[in-house]
Amino acid sequence: MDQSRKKIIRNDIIVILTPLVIALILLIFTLVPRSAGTFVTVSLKGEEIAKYSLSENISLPIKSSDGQTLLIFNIENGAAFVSQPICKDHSCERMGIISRAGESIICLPSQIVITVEGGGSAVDAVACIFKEAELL
Amino acid sequence: MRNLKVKETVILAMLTLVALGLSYLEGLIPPLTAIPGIKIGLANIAVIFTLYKLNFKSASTVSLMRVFISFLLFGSVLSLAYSFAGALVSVSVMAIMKRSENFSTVGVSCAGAISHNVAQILVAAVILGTSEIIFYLPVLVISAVISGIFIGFAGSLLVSKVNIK
Repeated sequence: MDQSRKKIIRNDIIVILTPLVIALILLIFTLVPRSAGTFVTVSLKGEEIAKYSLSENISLPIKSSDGQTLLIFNIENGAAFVSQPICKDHSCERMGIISRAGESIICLPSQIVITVEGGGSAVDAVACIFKEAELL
Repeated sequence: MRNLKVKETVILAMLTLVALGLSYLEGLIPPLTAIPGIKIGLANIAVIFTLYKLNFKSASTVSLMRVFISFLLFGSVLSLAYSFAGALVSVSVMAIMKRSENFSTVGVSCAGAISHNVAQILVAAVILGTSEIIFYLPVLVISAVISGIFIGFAGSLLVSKVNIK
């Protein structure tokens, strides 16, 4: 094996391993256990539209400006989750419940971000990217 | 001269169609994980092939046209923004790395896949007005590295075996 081929393989390994190691370190940080949250905020298109205590029990439709129900936002037994999203792949629903500070459910097509607040950080579930977006 | 131009256009159209077909094929494969956004990136094989056989201009044409036609066929305006950013950044990064001649197709493909995801997440962060989506990046980068390696090998095999001139 000649010198330039060796150099290329070495460079390839650097280009593959560097992001991988950084990603793994960041992943470990995001997996550190979080403290229990107290509030849940719901934002639509970057604007906060609602804030609820996690101790409430609610089931609330989140509507777009033209009155279409985008998804149902629920809080039950101190945990928040979404149901009946209008997007096709329903991954935000599959991501399940969030209750710890910093956890969030993000629905890309509807531009909804649901975040638990109250100390701590990091995100657990990001979901609901359009099937179409994955296809492109 | 005129014939050469026609030939070039036809080749580009065919490569774009191959890329489109590959991304459609990929859409038929059931998702491997519950995490959205993780994908194999089969269409990148066509982009890498174009980059190595033709040039940067042709490769970006194939990549961006594929995104645009996918959008016309199945997409929404929102998904166009994510995909355009991803495709543009990824093809540029791959072209620069190829030009430096310090990397093989595997390295080029991995860097393309990673930069694709980074660009999409950044656009999503701007559109959503939240930085929290960035915490999703590590998972995407790990999957991009794995699929990038396979796509890179597939690309190098094609580049060495198939001739379009």
